[in-house]
Amino acid sequence: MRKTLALIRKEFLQRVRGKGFWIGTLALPVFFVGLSFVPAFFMHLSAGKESKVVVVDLTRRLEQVLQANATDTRLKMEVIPADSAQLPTLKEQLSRRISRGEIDAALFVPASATKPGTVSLELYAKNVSNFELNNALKTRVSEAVVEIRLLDSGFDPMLVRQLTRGLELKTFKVGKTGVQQRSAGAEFMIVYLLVFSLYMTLIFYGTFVMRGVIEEKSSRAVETILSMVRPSQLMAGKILGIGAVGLVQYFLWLVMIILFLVLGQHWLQSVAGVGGSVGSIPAGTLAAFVVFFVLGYLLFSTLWAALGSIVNSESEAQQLQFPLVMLLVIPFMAMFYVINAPNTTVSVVLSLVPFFAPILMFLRIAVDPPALWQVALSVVLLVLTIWGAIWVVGRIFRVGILMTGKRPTLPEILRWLRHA
Amino acid sequence: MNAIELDNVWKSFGETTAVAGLDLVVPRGCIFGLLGPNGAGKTTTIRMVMDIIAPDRGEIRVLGQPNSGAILDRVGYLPEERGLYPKMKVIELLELFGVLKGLARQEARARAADWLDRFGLQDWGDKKVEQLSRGMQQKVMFIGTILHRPDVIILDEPFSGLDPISSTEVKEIILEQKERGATVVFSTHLMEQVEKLCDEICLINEGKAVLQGRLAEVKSRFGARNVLLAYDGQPDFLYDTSLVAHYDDYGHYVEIQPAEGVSPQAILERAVREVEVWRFEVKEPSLHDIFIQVVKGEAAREVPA
Repeated sequence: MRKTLALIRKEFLQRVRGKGFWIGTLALPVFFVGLSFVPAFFMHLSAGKESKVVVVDLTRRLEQVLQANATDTRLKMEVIPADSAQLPTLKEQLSRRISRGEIDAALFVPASATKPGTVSLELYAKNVSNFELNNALKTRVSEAVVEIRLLDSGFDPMLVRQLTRGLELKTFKVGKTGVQQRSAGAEFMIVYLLVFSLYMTLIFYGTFVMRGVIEEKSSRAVETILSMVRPSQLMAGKILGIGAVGLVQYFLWLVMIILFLVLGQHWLQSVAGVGGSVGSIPAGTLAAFVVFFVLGYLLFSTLWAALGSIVNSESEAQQLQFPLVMLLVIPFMAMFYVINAPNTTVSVVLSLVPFFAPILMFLRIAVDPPALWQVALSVVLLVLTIWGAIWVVGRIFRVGILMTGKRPTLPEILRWLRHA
Repeated sequence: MNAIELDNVWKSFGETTAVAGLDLVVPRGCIFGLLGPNGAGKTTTIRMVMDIIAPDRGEIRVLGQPNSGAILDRVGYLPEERGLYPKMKVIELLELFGVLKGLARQEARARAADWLDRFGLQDWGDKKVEQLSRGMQQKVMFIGTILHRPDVIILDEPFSGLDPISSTEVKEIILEQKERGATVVFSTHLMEQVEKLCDEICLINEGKAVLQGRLAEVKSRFGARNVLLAYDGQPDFLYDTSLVAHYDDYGHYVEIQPAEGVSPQAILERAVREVEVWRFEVKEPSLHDIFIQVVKGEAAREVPA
């Protein structure tokens, strides 16, 4: 025990002292924040710009309605009522003004626009892919045209607008502790983020353990160490030491998220619209997250440790990693099915499979807490699998860690299991 | 109580048998040489003693107890493949080794500092291992092996790859450890070191002990001191089996192993009568000769008649 602790300490300190740990810890949140706010930031930048548009109105009826509806001050519209005879001259004139940069666009509204039916507007501009401007123009002119059509048909536009308004959907989460109003989008985002970080960190720390084992082999220190500790202690030291690094990293991220929420809540809410709800993850979900991270980590890092012990280099490991990564990719893919149907037989069975449980059982707990016996059963199965994996992998590890040169074949590994 | 005992120990890797029924006894307090050609099973034997690999069959005892767990903390082991963690600081690495061998952290660090002092490495404790030269790393390895004052020290090929100065330092460490009362076992295929250092030897060939005992005894057992003769003429006396047990004739030079009870003097007398003697020399059997003689004899025995 004392020896295992000493090895855990060594693995932990060696990594936490390294630059890589701090760069990784800081880089990931920066990356995520960047990912979600960079588009919003640029939208914000472009939003401040004013656009000048000339609307050539062949119906001769739009000017009043358009000016009356003008709410967006960044869109300046100059309406020129015109006859079709003036059209060629106007097109030429306006095209020149556009190329000189005096106006951003010219929009031609045909005379038939106020009659029922589908009518096309024609837009002339230097940049025809400014979606924001195009949409704003289309919406504004369409609204004005519809209003005129309604008036022509004897309807009150205000009344029609009120009568045809769609319904909103408010979502309420029914939990053990009561009913809470939750937004479906925010709920999905939170669950997705948690599952995604489980998936990423299980792969990330798993390969971390594997790399540690390969380093141990290539430093050739392994024989000296094995004369001092048992292989199981060496393996435990690696897995638990690196696991502790993972928990510390999670803790630091949690602190960062809390700081970020406290300091930047207002901004977050105004820009991304998800602010308030992130803080409202139920405690049960968080507890399940920790439990399934720890169990999943123990299972997958053990498997990755075995992989590390039978290869000589990381490039060799790359090819062999595939089946292991698949064990995590499959539940991640199944996530979209399970989130829609968390209680079907398929979902229940998938979430009980020990290799899938860390992701899928956690997901079910977060979405719609299943019966307690199912959670308990999955934890028990997971613990048994971990125990079995440690037993099997310990034997592979014991022989593999001393091997150099040729990579063992599957029959050879099976022989180690029988003889070790 | 012996330092190490092996009883009929077997180990094979797939088709290859590395150790085939090895019996070995290392008494306490001696310097013990484990000899044998490359591939004889020395390293496999040592790894089994250290419980790094498990024997297929047989029993291994260290200091009178089965070789597992706490008893191995009283053994210091220097593998042939010497590697350290390159990114660790020297003093922290030694501290870790000490703790893994059962020392308290403070104690391990203090002893490590003392040893670094002794080897003139006091300024290197806070450096990373990878910044040290190969020679310095070798010294750090040795410190790691003896830091916890083990009762038994096992060194696998300790002299391989060492320059003469380091070789001398290693020899001094070995003698000093013996003085302290420790048992030192080392494997080697360099016979000169064995002859200078060892009290006891065991010669391993093809996984079996072919010769074992006190060095002086072994030498006297193979004590027929050889006669070297440079000559001209027809040496008919070589065929006299009552006089010559074995010879190796080169035409003008012959190495003779006298028959039992025959003195070199008697051979010289006969030789002088039959040939013109240019040079005559009585040679102490070197361990090297014994080694070759025994190993070759083994090989010969296995050739079906």
